[in-house]
Amino acid sequence: MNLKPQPFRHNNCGLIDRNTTMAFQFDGRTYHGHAGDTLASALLANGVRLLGRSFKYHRPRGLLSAGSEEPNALVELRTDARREPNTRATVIELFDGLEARSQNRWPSLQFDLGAINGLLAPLFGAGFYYKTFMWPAAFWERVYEPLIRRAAGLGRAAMEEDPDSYEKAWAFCDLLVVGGGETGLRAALEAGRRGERVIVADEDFRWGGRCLAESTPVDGLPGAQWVEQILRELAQLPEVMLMPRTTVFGAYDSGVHGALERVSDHLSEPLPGQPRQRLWRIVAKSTLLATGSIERPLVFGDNDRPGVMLAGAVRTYLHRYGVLPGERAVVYADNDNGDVTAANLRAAGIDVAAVLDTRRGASVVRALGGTALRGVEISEGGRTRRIECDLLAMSGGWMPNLALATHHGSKAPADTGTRHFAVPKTQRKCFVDFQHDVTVDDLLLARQEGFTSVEHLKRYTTLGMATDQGKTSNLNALAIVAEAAGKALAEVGSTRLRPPYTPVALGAFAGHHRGRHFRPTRLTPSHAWAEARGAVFVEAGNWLRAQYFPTTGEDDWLTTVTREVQAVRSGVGICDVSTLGKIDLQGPDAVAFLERVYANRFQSLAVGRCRYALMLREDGMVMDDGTVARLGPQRFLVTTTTANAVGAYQHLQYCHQVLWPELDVQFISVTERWAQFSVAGPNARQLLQRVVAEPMTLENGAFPYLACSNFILRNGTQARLYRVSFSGELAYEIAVPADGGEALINQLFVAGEDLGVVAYGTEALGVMRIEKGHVAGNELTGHTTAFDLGLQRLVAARNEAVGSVLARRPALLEPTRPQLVGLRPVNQQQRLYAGSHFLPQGAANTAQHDTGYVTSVAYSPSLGYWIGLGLLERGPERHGEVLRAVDLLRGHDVLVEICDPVFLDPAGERLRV
Amino acid sequence: MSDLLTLLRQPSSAVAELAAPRQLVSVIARRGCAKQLPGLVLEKFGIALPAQPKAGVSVSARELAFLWCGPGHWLAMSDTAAGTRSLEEQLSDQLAGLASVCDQSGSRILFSVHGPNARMLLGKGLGVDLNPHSFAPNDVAVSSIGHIGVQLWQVDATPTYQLLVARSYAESFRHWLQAADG
Repeated sequence: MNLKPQPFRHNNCGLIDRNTTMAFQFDGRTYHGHAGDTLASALLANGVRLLGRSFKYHRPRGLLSAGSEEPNALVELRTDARREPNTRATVIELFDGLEARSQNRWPSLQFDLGAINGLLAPLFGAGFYYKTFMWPAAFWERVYEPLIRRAAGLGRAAMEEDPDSYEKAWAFCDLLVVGGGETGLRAALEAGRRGERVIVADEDFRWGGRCLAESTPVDGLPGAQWVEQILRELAQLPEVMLMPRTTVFGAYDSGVHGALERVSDHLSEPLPGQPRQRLWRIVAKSTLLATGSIERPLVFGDNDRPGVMLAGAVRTYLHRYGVLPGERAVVYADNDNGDVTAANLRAAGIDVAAVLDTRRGASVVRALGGTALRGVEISEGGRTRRIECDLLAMSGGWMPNLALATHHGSKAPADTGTRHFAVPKTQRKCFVDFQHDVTVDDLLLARQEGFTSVEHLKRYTTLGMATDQGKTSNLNALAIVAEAAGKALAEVGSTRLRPPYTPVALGAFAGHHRGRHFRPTRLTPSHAWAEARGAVFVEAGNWLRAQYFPTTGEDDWLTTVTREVQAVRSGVGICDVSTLGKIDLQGPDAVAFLERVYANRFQSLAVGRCRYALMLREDGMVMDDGTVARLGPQRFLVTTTTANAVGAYQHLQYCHQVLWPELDVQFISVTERWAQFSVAGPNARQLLQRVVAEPMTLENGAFPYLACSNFILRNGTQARLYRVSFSGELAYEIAVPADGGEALINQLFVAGEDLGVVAYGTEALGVMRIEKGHVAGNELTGHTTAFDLGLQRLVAARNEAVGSVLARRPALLEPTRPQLVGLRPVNQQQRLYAGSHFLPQGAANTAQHDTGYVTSVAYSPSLGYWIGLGLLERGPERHGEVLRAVDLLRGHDVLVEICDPVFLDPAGERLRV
Repeated sequence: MSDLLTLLRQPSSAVAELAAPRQLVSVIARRGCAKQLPGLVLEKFGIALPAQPKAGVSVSARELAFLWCGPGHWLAMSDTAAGTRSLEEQLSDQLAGLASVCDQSGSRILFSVHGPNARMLLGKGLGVDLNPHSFAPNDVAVSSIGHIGVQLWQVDATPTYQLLVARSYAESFRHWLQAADG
């Protein structure tokens, strides 16, 4: 294979696998690297030092670091649907075929027109967007913001659907060690030897942290060898789990940590059946942060030129990757790292032109060069001079990496030993936050403008608010502000870091829950049966319910629903109502409890009878409604609406456990226990009589309206029957154990064939309840009272029930409140629209004339025109009045006559036949 | 080092859908009766009613088991057919005055996850530590997987776990299992 040479690869040092060569592309050009490289080290080995353009000023940028703290070298990784912007080249593990592009530049990385922003810098100082683009205000959304967004770009997200999968997992341990460097590995071994369950997680793909980056031996061994030895022993400990490529990104309550495992990111694409990433929740009894330290940059003019690098990163590229980051170096430090780095560079054969130590009175004033470093201007002993170099290795000392500790609220301990922080006098930009282009001048300006609190300063200058969260900049900024204020670092305080430590793809948080798995789906007992009959389904909370059942030749829903309603009203229809919440309630205090959680009375409810029940919130608004059936002296079956089933059950638990634990009452949800079908229509009794076993008779005398009973089907199944009706017809709800639901509906359809039995869905159910003026979810909005809904007679005048006192507040009994009415179009050909507002005829379409709104509408097959329910001010007094129902959004304005909300059989004779 | 990560990369643990116990009955202690109830259950049914998240099982587990659901709350399970007197009726009679009893037969689907990968598979959704140090045969957990409520107990040390899932959620739970077992 004819490979292009890697001119800056050292001949022998480094931990890369020289036998495995990988081809990759950067900005369309092909290069080669080795297994064990990062994209950054492989580019450096090829002499590529310009990797990106900065966020605001489009300044040319190279590598600052060799780790996840990198603020500069952000690239778009991969292509098409897998394209991922803003990935840090320093942590991308090289794989064969990798494709990356620089971002935020046009037309090219070398020549970027956006760099003109640098000349406009006076406009872009701290808080520039609060000052510069103020006028005219209308320009903000249409002109300024899009312009700023385009200019201050990050990479481009992929627009296609993510082709990869993600999963989640839990793990538990006695000790979580975050960081697999020398400290972390030693701690894991120690705890592991004692038999503790240990998890060690490290964001890197290779264990050892700085053991891999320094020339110093560990326990007398070269760092990498020491790591191999300790890993061998850890592998023998069954309770120690090693998680490489795993970033612990957040620390939460009760020892829960969030961690992201990059399962497949080091491959061109995931192996079959493998997720791209796995989101771990690690629950640890104790946690050891062995997260090491991050090196501080030094601040001087043009300190962002490609070729200016952290000294520790220079040693990493040298020792771990066998890469020469330059040919002629200057080392600049305020601590001993300078001399160490210089020695390492010389040992690798790199010419070290100067070692500048602030403690010896030397400093760098500015870096020289444009897209590459050409030299430095230094000040030494009061004189300035220039030194040629293509690499500047700088070190401002190391700061402990305490991000995870601050997630729990602890502030980073102030580094009281921080050295005097000298910023040279120069006209050039001195960068503090490289990723957000925040300079020393920005910080001083913000301070001058009164942003002295560090939290305000952060938001005003955006320092530390980039995706790197200021890993390399926060402490320097605090030091500069403290210096300017003449305060100690501890006095100015520090800002807090938040999870995630490094960016996490949203897909990882979603895991399995995308597309149709976004949330679980609940299926009714008759689902398969309904599916086989071609039902159209609708989501109701988590439930899928049959909405209507089109038959051959029916090509619009209204035709189908009209047929279903007519069939019920003239024959018999069946609807699955298993989704209603069902609660079995027992105990000596069951009646007392019911009379406290419902507004109406139950003392007088006889065994074998049902009653409508209205549940109020503490503030007197209606919370839910349903029925209560008395199965025995101390046993009841309570139903709730489908939508509120969970909420109402929780409410009952709260009332019992917190408000009245002294009541001897027990209850449990039996929603899943019963398959329940509404059998409605004039032929309902005849149909049911065919399936119940003798001697049960459903004749009116034996089983009247609102009766309930246990009984046995002809096939021996235990069942329950409730004579309740939502449709206004003679109707029953029949319940059998849920696993017998499908058999029952089949049986009913066989038995009812000659009676013309039909299946009906939630649409027909809705039409019939509107015809009967029954309120449902559209009216039980949480803003309506029993008074508003015309149910005041149900609310007993007493004080024990939740909400009964506050429901009697005078303002809630004002006749001016919007109250339930019926409405029909004056011109019976016209359609009605829910959501329309009631306005008087001739009034302007303004909010001051608004007197209420339409809550529910339906085409009534029984009446032959559209009808509706609504909430209208002084509604009950206004039957017969003609108003406009106006929908400005959809452009409807219909004359309607206000009427009684019960359109059909107001005396309720059909119910009782 | 544990082989956890290796295991996650191997497909297929033994996942099965079982016939749910024929009879399921909720038993909730009456107020102030939680202390007397275990004695009566032991006397009448020969089972130590667990006060902790555990399963109380009769000598022949097919006959009767009580799963802990919460303080003073159990799910009685029996795989015998109801016959002339259902489990609900038997429990109502025998525990009258001390507990409220409610039939739940048909309300749950039973899944079994079994074998060396079982813990890894369940760990993809269950926030309960199933390590043998923390969770042993007969231990019970009431929790959720993928937003679906589950009641889980360990059957043996293989390990084998059984999970009860509400009937309406069974299809979604099957999907989760398939994805996790991928």
